[in-house]
Amino acid sequence: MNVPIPSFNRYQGVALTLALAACADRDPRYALSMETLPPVAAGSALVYVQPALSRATVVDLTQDTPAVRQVAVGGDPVLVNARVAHDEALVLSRGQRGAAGVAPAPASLTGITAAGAARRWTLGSPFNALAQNGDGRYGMAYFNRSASAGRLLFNPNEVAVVDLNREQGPTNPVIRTVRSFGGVPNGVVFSPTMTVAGEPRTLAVVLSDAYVTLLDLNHPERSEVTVRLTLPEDPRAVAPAQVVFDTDNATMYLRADQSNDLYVLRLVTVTPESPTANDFRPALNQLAAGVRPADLALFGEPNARKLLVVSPGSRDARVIDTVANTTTVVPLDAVANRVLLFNGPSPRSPAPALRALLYATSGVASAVSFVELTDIESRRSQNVETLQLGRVINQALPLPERAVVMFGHPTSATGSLSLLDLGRRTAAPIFSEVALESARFDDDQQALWVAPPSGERLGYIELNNFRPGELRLDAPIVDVIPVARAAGRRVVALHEASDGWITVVDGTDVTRERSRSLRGFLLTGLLDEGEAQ
Amino acid sequence: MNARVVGLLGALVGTAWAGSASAQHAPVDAPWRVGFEVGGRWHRDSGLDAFGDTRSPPVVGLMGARDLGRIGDRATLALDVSWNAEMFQGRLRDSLQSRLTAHLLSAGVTVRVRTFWWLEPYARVAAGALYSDIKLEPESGTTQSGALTGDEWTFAGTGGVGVMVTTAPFLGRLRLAVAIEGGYQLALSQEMRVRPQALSNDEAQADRLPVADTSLGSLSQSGGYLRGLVGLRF
Repeated sequence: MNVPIPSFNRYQGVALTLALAACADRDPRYALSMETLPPVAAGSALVYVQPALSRATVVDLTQDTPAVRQVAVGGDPVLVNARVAHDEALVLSRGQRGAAGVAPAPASLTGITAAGAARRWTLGSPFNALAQNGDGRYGMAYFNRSASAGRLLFNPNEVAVVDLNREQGPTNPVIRTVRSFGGVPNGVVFSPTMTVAGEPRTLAVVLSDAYVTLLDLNHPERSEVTVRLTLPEDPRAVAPAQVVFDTDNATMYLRADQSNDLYVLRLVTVTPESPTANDFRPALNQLAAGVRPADLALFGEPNARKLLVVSPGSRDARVIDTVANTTTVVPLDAVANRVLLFNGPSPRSPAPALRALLYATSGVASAVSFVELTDIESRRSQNVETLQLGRVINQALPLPERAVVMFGHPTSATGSLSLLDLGRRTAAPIFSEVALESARFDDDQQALWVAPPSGERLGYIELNNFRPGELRLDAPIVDVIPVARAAGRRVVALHEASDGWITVVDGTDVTRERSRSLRGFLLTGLLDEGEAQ
Repeated sequence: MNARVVGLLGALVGTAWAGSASAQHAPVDAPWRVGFEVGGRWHRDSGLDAFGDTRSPPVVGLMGARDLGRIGDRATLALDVSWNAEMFQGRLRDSLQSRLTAHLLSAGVTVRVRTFWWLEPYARVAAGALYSDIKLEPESGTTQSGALTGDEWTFAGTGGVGVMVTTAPFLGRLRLAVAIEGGYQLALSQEMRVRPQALSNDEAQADRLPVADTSLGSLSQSGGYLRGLVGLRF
């Protein structure tokens, strides 16, 4: 006899559903780390990236009440940078190699605005470094030699050039493998817009040991140009460290570690032999620049360009006439390894003029040199004025737009900071409990903000009158980030909390009454993250 | 099997067959009931995974009921009030200790149908308030300080069926009642917001900078449930 059992099957199904619900595995997202990359400001927003979650949290500070938004980024994000001259953050992700249950994903670059809008460019290879040009139009992803690529095979000379003004497309980004003489890129610098072969364009200069590679970003289809700085048989690791561009004369000047010479690359116009050939050719020249030149700056009219070079090894400055190819040695009383050009008055001349401040941050010099650049070649040391600070300098934070430079000194009875007024040539000692590397200028450069590690007080100096002040907050400060805001200025103090904790300070009215905290924002939407079961 | 349990079952069977056939259906004269409940809920919202490895922690509670009257020969209408609570506790994202405690306060109506005087299947509906209280605290050993807390009320209703077994009286009018009930809890979703835990020192709390709340998102605590009740009727 057949016994019908459909009703039993129905109950069995209900029981099975209940049992499965009871045994549902925990959503693995809740076990992932909440660690973040160091946050950056993107316009009026702060952008935190949580690598384990492949997510950026955007804290928009446009309004008095911050708005928190979350944006997905590519897998395995390794760095986040503020886009130069734009209210946007750029997140470089290495993608996923793929594993059981995890599909491989290519590396990518994600641009995130303060409003939380995102754009993404697929890069292909798992780059781990990013450089941008001066106006933030181009980004170049490359392999930093100090970091592992996390892949079985990779070519460290591969680069990806992204036009950040354009969306992803067949010609954006451009993936290239730069020609190598055995080295790998140490860094990338971009030229300002410079006229080459009669056409304004931007060049990317990839710096490698003993050679540089030029990429024409306006013509990415054209081949790159690689220039050796040494003879093939020369074993020296001449590492290019600084590039200065003469935009009017299609010329660039390179300073290299391990070299007493400056390298001059003049881009000479040629007729291209094919559609992928370049319409310029570099002509290499070398200029003697003392012993181990440490910094250089370009000045003078386009038809009379000169280089000001400091060489701490020879305790002098050199003025090199790039047209006449002559060098004038200017002895210095104080050793210098940095050049700061500024346009401003001097105590003897109220008329603004281009001048230079020479100083050293190596902890050996306690004086700085002001150099009048007019007639420097004939007057030499007569154009140099030495200012004694009384304490050795080990850090510097220049702000030529405000005609000030802040120097850091080893802690002493006369203060650990000095504010140098470039116009008056006076140095005001400031007592500080903090090192200068934690100091930040705010967006409109009206004040300098400092926060001592693990201290609860936020310090600031008004740059128009050098008046210091401080504000007590509710928790120790780990960093301070000024952010731009249409109305007024704001400074954000970061506190240590894995769930996110910031205090937003009104830069124009630095009081507790005008300060607000936001806590737990990295947990925003936490309960909505899991997948419905 | 435990000897006490065997003895209890023996007493139940014994009392069930002790009376005459007509006495089998006579109503129990014990309008009041108080009890203790244990059970579990099977939640579907994976947001609860933020608070531990299981979405079905034990539920414990207390209840009290009063028979209101009879419906026909065999059915009895009763009103009850109950409280129960469940606690989710775990580790969140390698850095926080997370905890959610949900309290359900409800009033319900039960219709019991007498099969025998000692055996009453029943259906129950209840409605009330669900209060959820969360705390997210940095793990000990870190330099971070201060927990985040938040709480929220919402409406919840339950509907279920069960069966109750009642013993013969002892110690005068007291009777032991045991029930098992299964059903579904429907709860409106709660938007959970957190803020730093208030300081115990009022002066220090008043000195704090204003802090904006953070929304953790919505949580739904709907799901099936199964509970066992042990109590006394009198």
